[in-house]
Amino acid sequence: MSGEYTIGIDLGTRYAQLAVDIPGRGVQFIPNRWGDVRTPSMVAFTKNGLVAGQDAARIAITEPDAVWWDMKRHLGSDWVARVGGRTYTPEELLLPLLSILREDAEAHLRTFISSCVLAVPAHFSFPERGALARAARQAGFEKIRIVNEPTAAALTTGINGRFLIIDFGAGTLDMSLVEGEAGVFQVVESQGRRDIGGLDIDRLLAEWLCRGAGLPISRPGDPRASLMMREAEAVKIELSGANNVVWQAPAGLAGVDKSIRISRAEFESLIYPLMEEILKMVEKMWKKYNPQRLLTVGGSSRIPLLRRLLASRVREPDHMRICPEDAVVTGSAMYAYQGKERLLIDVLSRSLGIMNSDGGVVPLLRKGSPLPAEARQTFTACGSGAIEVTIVQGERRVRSIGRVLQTLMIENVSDGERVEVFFSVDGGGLLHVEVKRDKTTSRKTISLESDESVGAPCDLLAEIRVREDRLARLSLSFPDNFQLRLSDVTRDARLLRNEDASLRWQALEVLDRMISELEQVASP
Amino acid sequence: MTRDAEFRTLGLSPDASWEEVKKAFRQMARAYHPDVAGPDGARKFAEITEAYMALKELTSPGAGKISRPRHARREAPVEETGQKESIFRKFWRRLFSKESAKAEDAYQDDVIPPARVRFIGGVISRAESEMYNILSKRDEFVTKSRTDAIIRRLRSRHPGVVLLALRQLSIYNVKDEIAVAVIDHFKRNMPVSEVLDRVMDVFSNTPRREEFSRAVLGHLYKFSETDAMTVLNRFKRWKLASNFIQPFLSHKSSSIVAAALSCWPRDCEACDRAELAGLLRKDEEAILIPLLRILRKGKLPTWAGCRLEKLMKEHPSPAVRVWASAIVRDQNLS
Repeated sequence: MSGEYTIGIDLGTRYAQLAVDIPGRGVQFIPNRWGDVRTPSMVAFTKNGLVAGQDAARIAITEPDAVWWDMKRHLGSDWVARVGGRTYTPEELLLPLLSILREDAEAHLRTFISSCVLAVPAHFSFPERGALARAARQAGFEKIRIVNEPTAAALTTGINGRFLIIDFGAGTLDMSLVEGEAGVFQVVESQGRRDIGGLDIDRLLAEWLCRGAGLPISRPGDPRASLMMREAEAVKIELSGANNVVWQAPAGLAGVDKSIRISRAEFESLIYPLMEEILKMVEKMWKKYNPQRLLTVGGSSRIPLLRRLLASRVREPDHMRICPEDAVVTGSAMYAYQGKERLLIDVLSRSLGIMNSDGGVVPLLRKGSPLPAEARQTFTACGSGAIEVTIVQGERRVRSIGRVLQTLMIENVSDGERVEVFFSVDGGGLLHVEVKRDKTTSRKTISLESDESVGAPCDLLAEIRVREDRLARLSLSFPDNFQLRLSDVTRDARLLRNEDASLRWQALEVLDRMISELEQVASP
Repeated sequence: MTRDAEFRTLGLSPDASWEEVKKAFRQMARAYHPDVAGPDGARKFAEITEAYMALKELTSPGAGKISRPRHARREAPVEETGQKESIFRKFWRRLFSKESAKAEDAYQDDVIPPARVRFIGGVISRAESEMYNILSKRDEFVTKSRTDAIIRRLRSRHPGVVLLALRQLSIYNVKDEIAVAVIDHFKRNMPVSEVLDRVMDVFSNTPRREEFSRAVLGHLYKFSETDAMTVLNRFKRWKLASNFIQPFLSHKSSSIVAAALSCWPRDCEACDRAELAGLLRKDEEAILIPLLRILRKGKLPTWAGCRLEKLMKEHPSPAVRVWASAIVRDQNLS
């Protein structure tokens, strides 16, 4: 019944898409309540609260001030939207959007949906991923996995060998170098820029059209500006197929009564500097790894100039078998059901470490580690009182240069106490940190994703296995019926492996207490 | 420095190239990746990952280019693996040498003092009961998350999603919060006939039955004949008071009105019921007969007199004429 399907979500800057990979029936796109497979990633403020999708897009025509579409760019930062006497964080703004996506999927598949795969730009950091996962959790998803956009697209290709895949969407540019081998896709490196996207092209074109029509170049928030952006998008798309486009100023632009002719050459000279920057990035990656093939996905990759430049300076992009806009969502839907015949292994893009007392950084997980990865290290506290555990991301070994992700406070530590730090990063780059103290049984679990435990850090099973070994040794001296009952107890503990963190720790404590008591009798 | 252990983990000979390492890693990942092998494979996967990362430093052509101070690169792995191996070795040594020998001795002796047996039994049963408590807490977590999921969907603006949630309701899981959410929803929206019967079934045994009935009644004038009949039948079974039945009397369909009249509570006096007065003015036989049956039981209201006489003489249906004349005779009106 519930939770039967895992849906793939491509939360793009401009449009969000949904797909589900039904085993045996292939990937299907899920239409939204307005009958379209693409939902505008917009959220609008109204008297009755926030609305999202097509409803928000409609409001954008008249009140652009009350509409947001770039929450994704602000995730994990301090940015807030101020409207109607209160502020909204990017997470809160994403909430209605994710909710309507979930509802659309539920109405289409006729079942409760509680798990999803979210595609994010490859350059998203841990806090950004965590914030997104938190928003998804609030929107009603219980199991959330995250996948990088370009690597998700790589999953749809089925290519053997080394290839570079470029995802050029509305808001971001991402590229991944992937090595494929008989269905196993291993990511070698991912890079991305958040300031280059199709929207920037639209903005350039809108400004050009405004100049041509004699319109004052409007400030952001002007209703006419958002109208112009939409017009520019339409012209841009048309110019991918036509050599000349005559743009007729729409009725909404009062006072302008003009048609402007724009040729593809003019358009290309307009966007050339932007393309040059992309080419620079691609060439750098290309020289470093020398891949065999080049693939492009994302709506903006349809621009003929980009394809031409890539063909002349790097390599002719290969033909994707699916529509470039759909590649990411298809890939995320496939990622939900990956298995033996189709496996994606992503890597950690930056090292993760813990700062020690003299300001140096001890790396726990190194850059390029295949995911999921986990690491544990034991530290000894120097001095008593409260200590800080600072999690640092980056390649440098000095804290002041690396990026501090989060600081955990641990109270009442005695001098010389051992503190074990356990890091685990899941397949999509969600970080989970647990700090275990030696002397007390209290354990502090934090996760950059949420306060509760998420999914299952595989920790519990390993810990139970250690205890099982000890019990097996002990139980040799016990009568048979006790051995059976002992295995029942550990089996019960295993059942809890996917549950809330507090329950898991309680189960371990029960096991520990039992073992210590039994050991007393076993060794008189 | 050699990396024999790591090469062995990946099933390679110590002179394998970087390409071979990668290939071996992928093949093993295909077997042990947590997405393939489940959480049980996680430990093995961590092992092969570690081996892969160590060999990457050793064999990869671009290994030296990573921006990391030299000493860190050289020292960190040594320390890690050294520590790891020693723990590992200690563990196996303990497992196989001393402890197991001692255990075997104990087993062969096979004499366990009864006091010890009792103690062990006590320890284990305490652990069992504690574990049972934890497991039952897990069930609470599960039901809570399930309740939350249903309530969230009931509050949705998407009619399809609400319908899904209503379909998920069953007699066993209607908690009070869910009942409140359903009632809230029905106060705002008309119930869909598809789930109406089912939802009413669910509410049969809850204390909020009357509140729910009131919420449903709010939409009665929009109901189709079948839906209204479903609701009415259910109300009849629930034995609700007459003020729940009364709104059905103004329904546009005469068969609903007739049905409502036929389940009119026995103990309710007809004298001061204005709606009944209005109904008596109608001509349909289906309405008049149950109405007359009600009128006959109690004290006859003053407004009924002359209409009854008229019905007795003029109504085309003989049954109505008989009923009307029976009342007139009983009450000695003429």
